Amino acid sequence: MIEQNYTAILSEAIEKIMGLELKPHIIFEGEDTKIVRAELHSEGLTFEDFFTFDNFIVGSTNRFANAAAMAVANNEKIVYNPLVIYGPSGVGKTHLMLAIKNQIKKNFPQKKIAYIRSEDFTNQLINALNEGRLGLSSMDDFHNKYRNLDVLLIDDIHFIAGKESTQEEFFNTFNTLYQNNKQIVVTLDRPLKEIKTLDERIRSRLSAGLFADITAPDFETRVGIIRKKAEEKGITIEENLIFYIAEHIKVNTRQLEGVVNKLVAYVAIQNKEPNIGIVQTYIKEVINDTKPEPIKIEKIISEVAKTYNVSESDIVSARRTAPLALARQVAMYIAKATTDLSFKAIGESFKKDHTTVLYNVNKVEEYLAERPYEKELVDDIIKNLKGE
Amino acid sequence: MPVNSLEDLWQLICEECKTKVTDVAFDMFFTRLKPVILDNGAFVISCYN
Repeated sequence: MIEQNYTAILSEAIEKIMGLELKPHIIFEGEDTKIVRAELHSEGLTFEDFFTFDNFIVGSTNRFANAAAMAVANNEKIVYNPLVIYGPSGVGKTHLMLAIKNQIKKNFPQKKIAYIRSEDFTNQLINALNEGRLGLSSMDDFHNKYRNLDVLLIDDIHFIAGKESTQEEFFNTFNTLYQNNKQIVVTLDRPLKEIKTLDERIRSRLSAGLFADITAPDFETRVGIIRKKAEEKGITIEENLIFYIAEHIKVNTRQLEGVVNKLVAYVAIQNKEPNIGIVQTYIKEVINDTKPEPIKIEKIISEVAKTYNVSESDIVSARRTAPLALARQVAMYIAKATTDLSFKAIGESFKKDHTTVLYNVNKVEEYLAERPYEKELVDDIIKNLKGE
Repeated sequence: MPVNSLEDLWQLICEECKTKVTDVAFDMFFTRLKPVILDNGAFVISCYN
């Protein structure tokens, strides 16, 4: 009865608050939430479907990238291959990738298309390799998944820099798709030349493509983004307040959206128009909310393990083979360089005492001073961890 | 009110629903609902009898 009578009211409320048309699904006591979720997902609606060219605000700083992305999405034939979109975090690279995916799905439903973050690509590859060793599945499954596509979109490809197995797999996937005249689109968070430890062969393949950069949105684009988001979520923000927000949040579009979301909540609860004081408070909150999370030791160990092709458990084990010892020492060095943790606290994570950590950090400093490539590798790991 | 969690969001949605139904209806039905998950386009709400 509840579902029949009140789903419509709930839907309207959700749309008004969230600005999204989501049909609520009510489950009753005893129903299996996992099954319901699986059924919902099989309906095909995902969060990624909300990113389209229609809701991408175009300005002078992203016009070229938007045009290139649209050309790729709207032409059945290959126009730019690969398309490389690059720019800092929060400027809309992923939005464009997902817009390409959604537009191709709409224009050419027969095409096989995959969007994946390179971190997930790496994890899937590691799982496939492990399962292959255990005889649970073969690498063929992994190859089939990515080498038979019509369009492959890989986000944040800089994450594979320095990770040998992943680079090898990506290179071979790239070659297979490219030779078969299939579309490849990748994003980078910085210009190619700054990603020093990316395999030379991959660098060369990417260099042959079209590079489209996106920089921080200009004032007019920021105003456009705020207007569009407010309109989508059904609230009116006074022009002077829109300008104020656009003047104070200059780089990250996610922060602009964050302020609008807070204003939506304010209007819903207070039932009145926001004023300059409220806007100032929310700008401060959003800037604080989006400060980068402190880097965790577990994340450092995970990144180092993937880069040095060892397991995370081995890094914190007592085993002392040469590659393992180097990976462990580098992880300690990066922990010291990127966190506020003391030698003692770092040591606890690696089951070592603080003098061992101190010794290893100094040793890595000396080691890197004499080896420029290894130094670039470690610098790239640090950049990836910091999301720079 | 900053929206930091599913519960915060649910509060806002309930406030909105409250304006659309009578107090009796709200107490009888909406107070029996609670959000379970909002993920990948799915908003699952549980209801106890």
